Amino acid sequence: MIIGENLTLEQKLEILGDAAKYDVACTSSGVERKGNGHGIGNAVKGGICHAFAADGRCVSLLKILMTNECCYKCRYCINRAQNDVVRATFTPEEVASLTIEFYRRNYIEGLFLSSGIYPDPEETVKRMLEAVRLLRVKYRFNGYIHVKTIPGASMEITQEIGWLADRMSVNLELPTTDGLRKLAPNKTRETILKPMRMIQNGIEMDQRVQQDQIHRIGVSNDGMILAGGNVTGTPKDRFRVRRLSAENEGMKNFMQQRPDGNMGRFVPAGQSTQMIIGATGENDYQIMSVTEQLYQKFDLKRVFFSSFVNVNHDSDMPQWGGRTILDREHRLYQADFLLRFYGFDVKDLLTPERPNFNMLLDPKCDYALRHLEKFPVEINRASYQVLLQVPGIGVTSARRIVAARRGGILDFADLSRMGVVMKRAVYFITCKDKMMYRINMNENTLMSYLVDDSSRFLLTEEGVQYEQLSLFDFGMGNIGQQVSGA
Amino acid sequence: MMKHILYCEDSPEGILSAVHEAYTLRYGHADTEIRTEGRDAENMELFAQTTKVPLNQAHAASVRDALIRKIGSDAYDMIMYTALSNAPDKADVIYHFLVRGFANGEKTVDFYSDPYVARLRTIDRKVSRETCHWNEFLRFREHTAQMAPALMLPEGANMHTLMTSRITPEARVVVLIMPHFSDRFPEENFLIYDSVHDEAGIHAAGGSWYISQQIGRQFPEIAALTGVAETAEEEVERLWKAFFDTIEIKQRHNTKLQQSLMPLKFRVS
Ligand code: SF4
Repeated sequence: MIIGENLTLEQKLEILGDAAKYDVACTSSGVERKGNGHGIGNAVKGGICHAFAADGRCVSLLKILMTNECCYKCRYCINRAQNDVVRATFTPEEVASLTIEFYRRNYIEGLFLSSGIYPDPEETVKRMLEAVRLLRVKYRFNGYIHVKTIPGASMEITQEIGWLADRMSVNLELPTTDGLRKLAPNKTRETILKPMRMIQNGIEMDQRVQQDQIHRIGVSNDGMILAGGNVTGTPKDRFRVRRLSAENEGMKNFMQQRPDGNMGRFVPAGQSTQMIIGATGENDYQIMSVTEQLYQKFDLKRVFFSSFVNVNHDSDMPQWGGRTILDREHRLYQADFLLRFYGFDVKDLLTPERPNFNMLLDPKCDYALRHLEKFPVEINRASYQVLLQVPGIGVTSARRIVAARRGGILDFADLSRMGVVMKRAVYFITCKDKMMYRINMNENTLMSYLVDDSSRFLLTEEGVQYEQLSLFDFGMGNIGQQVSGA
Repeated sequence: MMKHILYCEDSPEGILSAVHEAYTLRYGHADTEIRTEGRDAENMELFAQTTKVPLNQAHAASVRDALIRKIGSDAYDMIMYTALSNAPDKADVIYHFLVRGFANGEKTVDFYSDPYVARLRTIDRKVSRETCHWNEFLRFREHTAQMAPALMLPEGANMHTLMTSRITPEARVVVLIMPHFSDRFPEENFLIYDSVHDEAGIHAAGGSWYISQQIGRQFPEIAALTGVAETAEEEVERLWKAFFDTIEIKQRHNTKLQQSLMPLKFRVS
């Protein structure tokens, strides 16, 4: 191991910024928080992007590792213990003051802090906690903080971070337990899911408390949870207090840790995770099923996919997949969108018999072609949910259609003004019970019209341009790669 | 029919003063046009009667109040954004939008097919977008603030540092971006200088903010200050560059995507 001694701050920043760059979750969104008139910072719900890196990813957060020293041996990671790379470590104060100085100049929305694991998970998280605490307490920083927590650290310390951070993530690393065993021998599914579950529960409890508008919590001698402020309120408020006190031990312990002051929200921007694709042999169906479960069972805000890069030139592992893996990643993100915003289930999109996405069609067109019996739909009657299933109609245009229908009957001419992509939608809709053209509703004919070429993937000299993704997910750097750091 | 052209000062108040005047003169809305001064003022039209309308705060305020009451605050915001734009036809668009608004009330903003309403929405959207862009891409530099007294910062303001930024917007966005940065940096002295329109937004630590016109003419040294980086500042900028240059994933290099996402004019350094 090469230890970088006497590194300048600039050198550390280069090393620890470089080491963190493979983490794809760079979004600063998910929480709206006005400035409080003191200290520095606020947070904007939609996130703010301050620059774009040379690969087109948005730069919104100071994304760094606390250290790239690591005692683990993940095969996909350049910082694994056995590699001869220069090692650097920030002090918590360095992390905090860099964040503040960049933030004051409007370079960033906040901090994304991750870390290599050294000497063990608990110590690692302790240093991260210190950096975050300096920011929140000493610098009174009110901007965005995302902390990637380390599996294997205690729940107490993980929870403490949760009271200070806006978003937390625990990386799933690989879609299957088998893949994890092969590539990340020091990590187990169990140690990964445990903090994920804890954060989920914390968020849920915190939200419940928020809904009850109970501002301060204490625990009385007889172990009852007291809610300050409302205890002397109306009988209805007192009822709330009793209801709270009936909660379990976990809730009580959880609330006791809640710090005073108005920062006291638990991971208000929710949690995310990411997994590497293309390193182990999982098919799209497996990946999407895991994704769906993460949303359903862990209430994640986002699941990120990260195309495998063989940074260690490991001859047993696939080489960089180039265009193919980027195309696949793009399909996964499209499908992820359909799950989160369009009411689709994985089983609508893929099956064990048809386990991979069609590379020629986006998942929604593909779905429509396989369910021609559902189309065409009448624009003036179809429900919002049905409109969402039409290729070329997005969340916004579906909403506009539903609103505009109240004002009168819609015709084709109105639709493009509402943002409907007619080129694709035209095969699947009628207006006033007529289709725009006479079309042979046959899978093969339609397929030839709908092949997804230049419309989505703009081929440029440098490679693929994710036009649609960049637009609908503006501000979220979801084009990326695998994790380094934890 | 004789056409009437009212010339007004190029400001929100100026435009609303002219709208008030148009209603008073009663030449008929279809035959009346409002233009901002400084735009083709020389270019007199042969069959038009022109009138100069001086700024009148009371008149402007009465139009504003009526507009908020009858057409709503959304419409008011759209009109303010439009008035701050550099669209040559903005005064006339606002005027004819208001004519429709006073007749039809709040629903006017949804008349997509009306050319004036559509145009107002277009200009409004462009200005909103530019406002967002500057919120994202403007950069501050730190100065050791010997300049603070000249900035009329209140007595007792923390004079340690002054953050400045120089921007070159198409619309007069300073007034639109100041709330965002004041909320974000309550304890900073900062100044955002729009060198195109020669106006600045100035915020005092722990206090409120105001707009100052003609800063470049009155305080050239302050305007000049916004263009320089002090030595300590170069240090921070180097740190940022070190971080920024390292975060590209080489396998995914894509200059075209980068450039399509970030318009050239916002690209700093
Ligand atoms: S991924 Fe994280 S835990 Fe694994 S080797 Fe890299 S830094 Fe260590």
